[in-house]
Amino acid sequence: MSELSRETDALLERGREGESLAPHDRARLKRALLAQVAGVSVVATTSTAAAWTTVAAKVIGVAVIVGSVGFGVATILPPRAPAVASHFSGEANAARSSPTKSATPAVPARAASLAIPTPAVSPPPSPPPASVANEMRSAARAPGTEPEVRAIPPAAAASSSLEEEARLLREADDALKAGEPDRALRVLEELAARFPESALAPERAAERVFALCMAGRQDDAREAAATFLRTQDVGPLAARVRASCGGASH
Amino acid sequence: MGDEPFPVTPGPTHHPLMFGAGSTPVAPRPLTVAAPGFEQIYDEHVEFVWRSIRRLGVDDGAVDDVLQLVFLVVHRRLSEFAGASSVRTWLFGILLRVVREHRRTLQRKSPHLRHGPKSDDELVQLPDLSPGANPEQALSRAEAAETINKLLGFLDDEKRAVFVMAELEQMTAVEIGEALGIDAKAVYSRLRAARTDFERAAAAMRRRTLGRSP
Repeated sequence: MSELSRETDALLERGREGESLAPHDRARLKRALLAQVAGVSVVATTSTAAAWTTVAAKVIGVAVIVGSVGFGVATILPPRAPAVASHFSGEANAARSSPTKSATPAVPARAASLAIPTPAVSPPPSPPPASVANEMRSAARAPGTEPEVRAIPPAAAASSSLEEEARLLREADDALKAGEPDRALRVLEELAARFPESALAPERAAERVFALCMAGRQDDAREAAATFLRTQDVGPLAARVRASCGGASH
Repeated sequence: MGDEPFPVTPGPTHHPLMFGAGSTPVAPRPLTVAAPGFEQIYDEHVEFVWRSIRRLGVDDGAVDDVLQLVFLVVHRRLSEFAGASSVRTWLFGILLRVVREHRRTLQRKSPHLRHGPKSDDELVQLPDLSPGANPEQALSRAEAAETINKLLGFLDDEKRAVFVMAELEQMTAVEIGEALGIDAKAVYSRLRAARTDFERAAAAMRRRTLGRSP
């Protein structure tokens, strides 16, 4: 039979919890992701600024993956399958024409789908089922950890402030791209006032440096850059701040 | 005449599917249950997604990018998550597809790259690590995890996914079947095959380690 040996079991037991994401990486990944979800181009996931072209390409890739994922979800949620397929093929097309915006939260779509209560397909069985691995092990062995079958507890509007914040950051970004630094600065000021302890605070601060540069306020930019670099001295964002008019080399 | 076969009383909290056949009406589930916040899902499951991506054999340098893509897909599909099945099942289904897509992209870029299970000849490249190799000093958790990841390289993609979900994440056969779109019977048979391959690699590693021990 294909039972695992005692030694292999011991190895699995020991290594199961052996990997963890360092808190620093966790925070960095989260900021990059939130910014990407918001469609804000000020952040780069990887260490080079050139990575943005690949990110844009990847977002197109997401649209393609979304199409194939749709099939899998459809098998789990049969009642909604047709709507799901058409909705996402449309979104995939939209993504192709505007890759950098394709990650924008689809608020109207979500609101629409919320209006139709989704029937529960397979409520978690009770009592909790044994994990298949333990189930297949010899009965003599003591049962392992309970499998985690968790439904997510209600989270009323957990992401609403985040979405609002992302929207404002994107607005500032758009203003900057349109060559309107003063408008960008006004929006960034509003952001700072409304969400002082934000997960996207570094992006906001960096964006402010760029806006001040564009507005020709070099002294202010230097000051803002110095403040930024005191807390964020590594990473792609720091590199871009250093390379700006507010950076030390200028 | 004129009677409607079914009363048409659409309302924001009414839906025919909300009532079980012949049973008393069930209170509508609050909508917030059906739509957990994106940030909440991220915070609670990023660790799971991250280690699963690694366990499925994505190169260290690409793990961050793949993780971002997984959560971008999650963000787009959030409204479809019914909250009825396990979040981890849903996430695993998504991440499997993203990892597959990632591999296809790599393959297109560098056609000479070979992806697939390592051959038995490559067993000699395994580290000298195994529990019992040095009884005085137990393998650290991180070393054990690293060894497991290396051994997983000897499984093909299908078996690897089942093994990761069953043995490392301790998911149920039903959950695994849902994530992969296969029935429980197929889950069992894949898991048996995966165990055979994993055990063979682990045994070879142990033989080698013991052979070198004084």
